[in-house]
Amino acid sequence: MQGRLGRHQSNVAFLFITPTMLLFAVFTLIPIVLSLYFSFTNYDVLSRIEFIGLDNYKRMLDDHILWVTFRNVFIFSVIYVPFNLAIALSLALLLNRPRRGVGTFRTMYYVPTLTSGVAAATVWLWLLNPEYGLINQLLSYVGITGPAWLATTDTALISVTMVILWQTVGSNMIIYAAGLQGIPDYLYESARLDGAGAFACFRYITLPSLKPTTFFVSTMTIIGALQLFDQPYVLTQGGPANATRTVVYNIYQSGFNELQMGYASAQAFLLAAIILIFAFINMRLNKEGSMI
Amino acid sequence: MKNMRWFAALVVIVMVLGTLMACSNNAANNTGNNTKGNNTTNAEQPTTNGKKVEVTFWGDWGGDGAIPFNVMVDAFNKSQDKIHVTYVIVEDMITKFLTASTSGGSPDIMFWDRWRTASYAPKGVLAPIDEFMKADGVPNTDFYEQALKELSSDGKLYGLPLTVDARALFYNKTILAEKGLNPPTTWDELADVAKQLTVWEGDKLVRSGFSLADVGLFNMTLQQAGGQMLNEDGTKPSFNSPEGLKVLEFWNKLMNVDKVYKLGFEAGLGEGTDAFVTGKVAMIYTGPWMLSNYMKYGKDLDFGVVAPPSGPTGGKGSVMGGFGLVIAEASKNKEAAWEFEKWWLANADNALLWAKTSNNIPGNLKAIADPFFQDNPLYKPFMETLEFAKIRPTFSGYFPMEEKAVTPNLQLFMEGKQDAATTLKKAEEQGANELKNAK
Amino acid sequence: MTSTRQISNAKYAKASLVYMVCGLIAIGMVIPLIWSVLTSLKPDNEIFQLPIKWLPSRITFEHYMKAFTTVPFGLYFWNSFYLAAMGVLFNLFLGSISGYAFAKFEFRGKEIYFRILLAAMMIPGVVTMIPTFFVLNHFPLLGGNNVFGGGGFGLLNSFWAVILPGASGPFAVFFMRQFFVSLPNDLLEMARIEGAGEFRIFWRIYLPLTKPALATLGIFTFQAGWNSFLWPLIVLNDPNMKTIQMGLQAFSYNHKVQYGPMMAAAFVAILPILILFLYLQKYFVQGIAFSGIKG
Repeated sequence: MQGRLGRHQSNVAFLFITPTMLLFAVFTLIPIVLSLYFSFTNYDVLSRIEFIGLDNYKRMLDDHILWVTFRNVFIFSVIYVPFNLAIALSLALLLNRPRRGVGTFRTMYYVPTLTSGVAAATVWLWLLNPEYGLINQLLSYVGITGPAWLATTDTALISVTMVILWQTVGSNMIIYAAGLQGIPDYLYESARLDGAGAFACFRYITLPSLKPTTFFVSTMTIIGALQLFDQPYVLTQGGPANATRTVVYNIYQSGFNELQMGYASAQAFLLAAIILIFAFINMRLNKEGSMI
Repeated sequence: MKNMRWFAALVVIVMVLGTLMACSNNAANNTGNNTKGNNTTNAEQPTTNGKKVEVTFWGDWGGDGAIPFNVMVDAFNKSQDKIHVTYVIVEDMITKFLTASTSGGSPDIMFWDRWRTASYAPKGVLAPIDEFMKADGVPNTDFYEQALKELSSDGKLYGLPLTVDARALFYNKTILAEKGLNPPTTWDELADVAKQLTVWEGDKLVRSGFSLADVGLFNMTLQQAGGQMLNEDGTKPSFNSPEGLKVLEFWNKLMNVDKVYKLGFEAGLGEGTDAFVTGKVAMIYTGPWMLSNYMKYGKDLDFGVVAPPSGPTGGKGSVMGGFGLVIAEASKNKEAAWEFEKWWLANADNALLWAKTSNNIPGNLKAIADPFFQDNPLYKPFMETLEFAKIRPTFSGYFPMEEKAVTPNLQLFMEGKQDAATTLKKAEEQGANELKNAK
Repeated sequence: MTSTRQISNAKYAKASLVYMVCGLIAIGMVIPLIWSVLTSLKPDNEIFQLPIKWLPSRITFEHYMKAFTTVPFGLYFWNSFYLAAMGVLFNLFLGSISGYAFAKFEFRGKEIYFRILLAAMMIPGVVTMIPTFFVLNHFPLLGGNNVFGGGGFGLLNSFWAVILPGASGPFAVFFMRQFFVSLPNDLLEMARIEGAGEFRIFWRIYLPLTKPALATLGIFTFQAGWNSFLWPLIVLNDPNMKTIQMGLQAFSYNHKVQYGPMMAAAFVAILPILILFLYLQKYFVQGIAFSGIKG
């Protein structure tokens, strides 16, 4: 940057980010460094904290439940992330035109994120009940005997994924809705003058203009998916046969119920490393390499 | 720009309110610091002189669940003038206790899920009460022996039992009467009755004769077969045995031969209570805590309870659980806390008062001799069951083992994905690993 | 004539199709909430009937009475509202000003700072909870602590213990940065040439253009603050500082769930977010952001 103007700019920039970075250093960085340290100890929160080197990390290799949970959240994420993005964007587009009633519809689509977890679980459990549930009753009209959705190892994870999609898609929808507001109208107007159809407008104007939004939404959705915690718990208690147990739930159990905070921290850093890899792949896919 | 001004005004308002609140918080903080840095003091306390010892009592039952606690606390506070107890509702008590212990903010006395003693007592955060018991001449024989065992660790006792419970067999009287059947007393009768009560319409299960939803019943069923979950010193699982195999064969018969149940049948039926309340399940193993739920929500439900049927060799079994009161090692008022605990639990009248107001079975043996329990046909079967019910093994590795090794493998078995021998073998191997890691 | 009618018919058909699709999705989205509201109006013994009874035989408000008399909802409401509102104000302001800096300025270390900010989100909060508690407990010179953070309680048991750690989350910074990135740079250069100060450019020119983003972030942070349970529980001790989510726990204990009062309380507890959402709806109308700078 050239001379005084550049230096002035960079001083202003530091001023702008200082409060955030200070808070971040004190309330996020220090705790992270501390828990990184815990991951090399047998810390139990209550009575002991002794350095045990890499023992926690070695223990993870033999922990079969740990790998089951990683497999679960991986499968979950592979289905959940693309569907979430696609549905959220579709809903946002569906409600982007200033039609009568779009506000009401948008509110209704956001309602699942507000609905109490217990209320939602109660209704979904009933809907998915193999004998009395609405879904299997509908299937029986077309001659299909539906499975015991949440009760068998083959279908539990996919059922839980669907319910969580239902519950969370509204958040990304309104982020996309906000992102769509940032696309200047004149872009569409001039495109239409050039004879572009609806699909061409979407492909060459909407999608490219939404790139920063998509990068945000996809990154956060990946993080959220891999850090899935207790949502499956109200539906399946992590079962059957650990089919819906998640990594973070496992970490919580280790740290708070089995009093092995050191081991919990080690698992958390392994998870963080894996999320980092996915976030990096996502960055490449979004071609956001210019800045990040 | 109008919105910006509106926004700025809101910022100012909330900031001002924030400062005001921060001030009042500091005030609250100060009063807190005067005692022990937690929320013992409340302005409206009837402490006339400042000499009373303040005791903080934590529990996680709120709402109506807090009423019986407050009844006991009030009665104790009125019974003497040296100690003042306050009941504080702490929603996720165990997490809060963990963090509070690191900052010196732990309570004096706590409502305690007894099975946690095995993992917490060795960490030195609970205070042993043996000395108090001896000094005040409180005999161990006044309490359920199994419950005291669950509150002990390494030869020391850490608290007294407040409630005891165990699962027994609930049956739907109306449905059994329709078929002219009596409640079962043995495994064979159980299978027979369950089969007759089950109703199928084609491949659709309309009514299940006996709930097989909870594979956690393995422990009590194993006891009925004459087996044990762990060896004596808690180092190895011992359920991979002929007895363990008998349990799985019995379940297999119920599930796949007699077809009294179907996986996932109950999920969503009467959620929050269970499908028994809707009449879609004719018999179910559950505990005394469900009595009031069934009475409240079961509109046309007429039910009875019997002790768990005995196994093929006449073995009886059920798992005893329940709560106790424990004193925190960090408490500065252990004597006062003990006075409160002793008044409540070692005195049969007070233990009974608690039991009646909270609808729980007390851990004090003199209190349960009361007709309130002995003459009630719904409580009586539980009294019988508690005679032989055993606590879960008191090793910190037991719960991880059950949760991570036993339950998942049993669920695979129930789904038909794993045969009985493999199930027991895998559960044993993985369970041994969990036991080892819990050290 | 015929052709215009055909067009209008086609348009009509298309519009009704869109409404039908929207309506069907909407029903699927709100059914659980409707069910919970109906449950809150049913007498106890109708809650678990089979086949499921949607409409109560008589409408009762006893569960609402019960909910409001069991816990001091007014106080909890205010506490939660205060925490959530402070979270919104801090995050909107700090998130947008630092997001703006990351999007529009060049400075040394910009990429590395931003990457660290993002990477911190990868670590699950359950393991940083206890260390964060440590930091609050040992915050120097506050709450009776000495310079080295010993002796007192630090920031524990004050609302700041909830507000400060969440005051400028990486989420808010990242979110706002992405919106500023998508805004053109020429406004900035024009304003600089005219001699406007940097803060003025941010506050007067760019910030108003991100109203839809601010509205969205506002909803998210409010909802997060309103729904937070475990963290306030851990750092606050005074019963008078309890939040709404702690209050909701009062309806389940010892395997007993008081369904009616719980559904009643849960419904009342989501109303503030619902109202906020309805109020902020107007920022999602197409074209609002750029109407000022078109052409």
